[in-house]
Parts: sequence; structure tokens; C-alpha cells
Amino acid sequence: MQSPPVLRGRSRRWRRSPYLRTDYRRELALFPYSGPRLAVIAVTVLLVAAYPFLADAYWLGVINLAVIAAIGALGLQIVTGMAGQLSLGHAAFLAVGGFFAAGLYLHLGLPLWIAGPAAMLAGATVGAIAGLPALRIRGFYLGITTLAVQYVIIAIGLKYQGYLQTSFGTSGSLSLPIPDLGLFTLTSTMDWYYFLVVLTGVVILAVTNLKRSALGRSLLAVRQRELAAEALGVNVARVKITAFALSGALGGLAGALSAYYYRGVGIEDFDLLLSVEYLAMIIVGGLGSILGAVLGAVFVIATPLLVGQLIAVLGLEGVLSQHLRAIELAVFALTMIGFLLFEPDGLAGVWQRLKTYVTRWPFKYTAMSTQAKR
Amino acid sequence: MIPTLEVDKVRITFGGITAVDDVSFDLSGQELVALIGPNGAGKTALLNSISGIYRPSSGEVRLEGRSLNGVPVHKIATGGVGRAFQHAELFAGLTVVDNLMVGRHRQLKGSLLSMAVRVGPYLRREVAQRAVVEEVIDFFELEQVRNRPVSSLPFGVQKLVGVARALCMEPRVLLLDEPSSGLTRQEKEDFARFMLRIRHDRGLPMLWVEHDMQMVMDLAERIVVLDHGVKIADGAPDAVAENPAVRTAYLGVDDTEMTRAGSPG
Repeated sequence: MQSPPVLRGRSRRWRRSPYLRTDYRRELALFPYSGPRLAVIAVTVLLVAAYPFLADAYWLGVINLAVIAAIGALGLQIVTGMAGQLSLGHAAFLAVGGFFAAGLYLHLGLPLWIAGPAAMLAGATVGAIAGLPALRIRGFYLGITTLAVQYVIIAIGLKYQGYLQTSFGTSGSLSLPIPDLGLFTLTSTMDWYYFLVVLTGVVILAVTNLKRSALGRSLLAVRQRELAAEALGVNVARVKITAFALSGALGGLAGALSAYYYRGVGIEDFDLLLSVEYLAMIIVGGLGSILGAVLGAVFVIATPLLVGQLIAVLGLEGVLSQHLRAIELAVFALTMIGFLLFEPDGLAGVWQRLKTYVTRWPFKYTAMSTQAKR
Repeated sequence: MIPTLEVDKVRITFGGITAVDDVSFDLSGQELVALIGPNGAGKTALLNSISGIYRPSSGEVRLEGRSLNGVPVHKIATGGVGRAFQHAELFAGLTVVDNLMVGRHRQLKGSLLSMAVRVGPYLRREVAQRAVVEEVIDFFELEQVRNRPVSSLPFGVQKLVGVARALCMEPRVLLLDEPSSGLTRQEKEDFARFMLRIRHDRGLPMLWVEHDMQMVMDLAERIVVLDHGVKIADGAPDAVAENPAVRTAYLGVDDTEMTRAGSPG
């Protein structure tokens, strides 16, 4: 669209009001108001870059795990949070990714930079197959079929590990070398941190763009009103399968990354609890929210470790060490219930309210737009 | 000339119950055709069979001469059948603009990669379609609420968004399922104005299910009356109003029994 002649070229960009937008390209920009947003982004980037120097090795490792989980959680967010298709077997996609990457190394000697995309493709394929039942069934019943997919994958993984034991004489789980990315290797925790942060940034940007494109709108449309979406020309079957495939691709990537991060992979790591933890991430973070998936991943990964640290700080290790796992699980369960009861919009909702409060201060009304940005 | 929409001896059955029985009529040009009948007459079932949500057990629906039998719902929609639902059926959580953009889905084809990167042709398409949606927003005077989540809007506005969304598809024929139910008198009058404007500006035929007889008598050019799934009248408003079968269906045999008409009129 051409801007009206009065507005064109009259004022320089830095003098123009950020609220006066003269074309739709600007209206559709991710950050339509430049000034303060740029400052926020700069501070965020600086903080993220400085984190390894502020935190000790332990907490750097924790964030690495959380960031890997965030990629997986974004996958689940697409299928369950945005498209509304309950997936209880997300760990299956992680297992596929992890084993695919490890298998490619073991049999063909392929490095991570090839295995990563390959694991995404494998995850997407399994995801698309796992999504087929969604064309016929919904809700809890669909959840059960995805659970079945996870157990099928576990059964295949066990067979594969058994085959490796008999023919290669290795122990049950597969081991991996220090990842080689072609240009550099990921030796230290800090190398991993920067690599993962950049990769996750790319994934977040890609998912954000998908969400505000035609696919994202049809995902949310299918979640809300499947029939109305179909009557508007949305191919619901295709949207559902695409959602599952994307979920599988991101799950596969997270699986491959964690396999390399731990330098090994074993099928017993991909139990039902892992799937539930991923579900917890998107519920605690806020269903459908991209920020929520990331915050939820950090929360679910860090909380048990924080509880452990707290017990250590309080000097209660001697008394409670035997029950540590039980206490971690109890805290996890209670926060889940708390979020479901009191904060259905999750951490992303809390963040949104906080932001509204600050930007509206000293006025106290809640803006209507808070719901829209989910 | 081939009519835009032909309903040809359509019969819809659910188990042993016949909801729509051998109904035939057609729409063409820029006709505003009202489809009326008492509750349970099969009006919505008939609309659903045109949209492809129900499949006629016999007979067929044709759009510009092409049969819609067996065509998937989303293909019927992109083929030119626009539909506004009785309860608006908007996508809660999306803004007004995004709801309308779903109506432009067909024009926003692109690979996953192009959507994820969002540069080049896909971005240009998104910008162009946004401009089209803005025209519809102007048409329905929704500028004030364009960035509001639809769930925060009053019901009357939501129904308007529902019609706007259907119109965003640039359909060949528009199906309106009780667009005025639940609206206040004022909103109904506004809505009537929009219907006349749609016909004037877009020039497309509309099939309009309606209970408000006063609106029907004032606006419709032709009225199709269903009762117990059977078409009992089809013609100009005055002729239909005089039709004894219609009077019986609506008012009962005894003229004093006015309550079944439901709405004023």
C-alpha cells in the first residue's frame, strides 16, 4: 500500500510517532515500535551473552539442559498448545531424534551437523504418522494413541539396543563423541551454551514467524472451531498432520542435541514421565505461548535442582537425602496443580500481566489486548 | 444461464428421521433469498448439506453447474461457498484481523520454510492480503476493534465479524445462518443495512436463514419456506405471506394461536 502523499517523506523515521504506521508491512513487523524495544532486545542479548560469566559451571549446565528442553517444548507447544491436539507421547520424538543421531554416528560416522537435520526429518516422519489418528479422534482418546506411539518407539529402541549388544558387544546404551559442527567442536559447557542459545534463538524466531503466518492462524483456528475452520477453506487434516510433523521435528532435534550433550543415549531415559514433564512445561509456561514454552522448560528443569540446592543450603541433606527425589516430585506436582488452579495462562500470562502493569502504570485497568497476544 | 447455486431434490436423513425431504430451489444473480420455517424444519441441516458438513442421502447440490457431492468441506469453501454461522463460531484467542485473515487462507499458500523465514514472496502475500482484509474491515466498520481478541467483543459485533470473515473468502454465494438472532433491534437494523450493502457492492446471491419475519418481509426478494423438511412455498414475500400452507405451518390451523411464530411479525 502506498502511504498518503502528506505522510510520505515529510519527516525522518526517527521523528515519526511510533504509533503512526503508514503501511501494512510496518504494521505486520514483529516489533512495530522501534525505540524502547531495541533497548529491551539489546539488554536481553547482553544478559544472555554474559550469563556464563555470571553463573558457575553447575548452573550453566542447568541452563543448557533447559534450553535443549525448550526446543522440545516448542514442538509440543505447536501440536498441543496451538493446534489443541493432545500429545502424551512427546518423549517418543525425542527418542527417535536421539537414536537416529547416535545410530548415524555409530553406523555411518556422520557428525552432528548432518545428524541434527536428519534427526529432525526422522522426528517429522514419526510425528506425521503419530498424527494420523488425529484425523478421526479427538481429545483424551487421541492422547492415548500418542501414548501408544511412545511405547512402540520404546519397544523398537529396546530391540535395537539388544541387537547392538549381540552384534557389537557394546553395553546397552550408545555413546557419542564430542560433537563436530564442521567449523568448530563443542568441547566445554560454555561452547555448548553459546551454540544452544543461538540455535534456540533461531528456533524461537522460526516458530514465532510460523505462528503469525497462515499456518499459525489455522492451527489456532483448528483448536478453537474445527468445523468453522474447515468451512473457511482450511484443510484441517493437513494442518493437524503438519502440526504433528513439526512437533516431531523439534522433538527430534531436542533428542539429538541431548544425546550429544550427554555423549550417549539409552532408551530407558525416554519413559512416560519425560512426556509428562514436557506437558508440564507447556502448561506451566502457558498453553499456546512461545515465551511460555521456553519459560516452562526452564521452570520444569530448574525447579527440582533448586529444591536440591535449597536443601543443601539449609543443611538438611543428612536428614532428607533419602527422600530427595520424592521431595522434588512433590514440589513439581504441587506447582503443577497450583498453575492449573490459579494461573491457567501460565508463566507467560504472569509476564504479560506484569508488562501491562508496568506500561499502564499508574493506571490500573487491565488491557483487553492481554488475551490477544497469547 | 446456469444458476449460481442449485439445490436439486436434496434429501437428508439421520437414521430413520428425514430432516430434509426432496427440496429443490436455486439462487442466481444477486438474489437475496430467505429460507424460513418453524424450528426443526431442516433449515440449518440444508445449509450444512450445501457446505458439505452433512451429505445428502439423495439428490445433489451444484455450484455453478458443478456437483458438490463428495467434495470435502474445505474444497467447497474455497470453491466459493461462504458461510456465516448461527453462533458466529469465531476463533477465540485470535484478533478480529486474524479471524478475517483465516478467510484469506487460500491466497496465503507458501512452504513452511517461507513462512518461518517470512521474507520475499510470502511476506508480500501476507501484506497484500492484509490490505484486502482491511477493506472488509472498512466495509463493516470494524476499525475500532480490529486488534481486539474476538472473545472480548459484544455478541452483535461477533456476528458481524462472522459475516465479514465469510466475505473475506470472496465467495460466489453467501450462506447466512440466522445472522440476526440474539441481536438487539438497533443491531438488527445495522445488520440489515450491511446485507443491502453486500448485495449492492459485491453483487452476490445470499441464502439467508431467518426467524425475524419483519426483516424477511422487508428485505428478501424471494422466500423459500420449509416445514418438517418439505418445501411448502417458494416465491415473492407477498405471495408467500398469503400462502395458506405457510399460514398453517406458522400459525397453526387456528388463527388465534399466534405464539408459534416466535418472533414479531
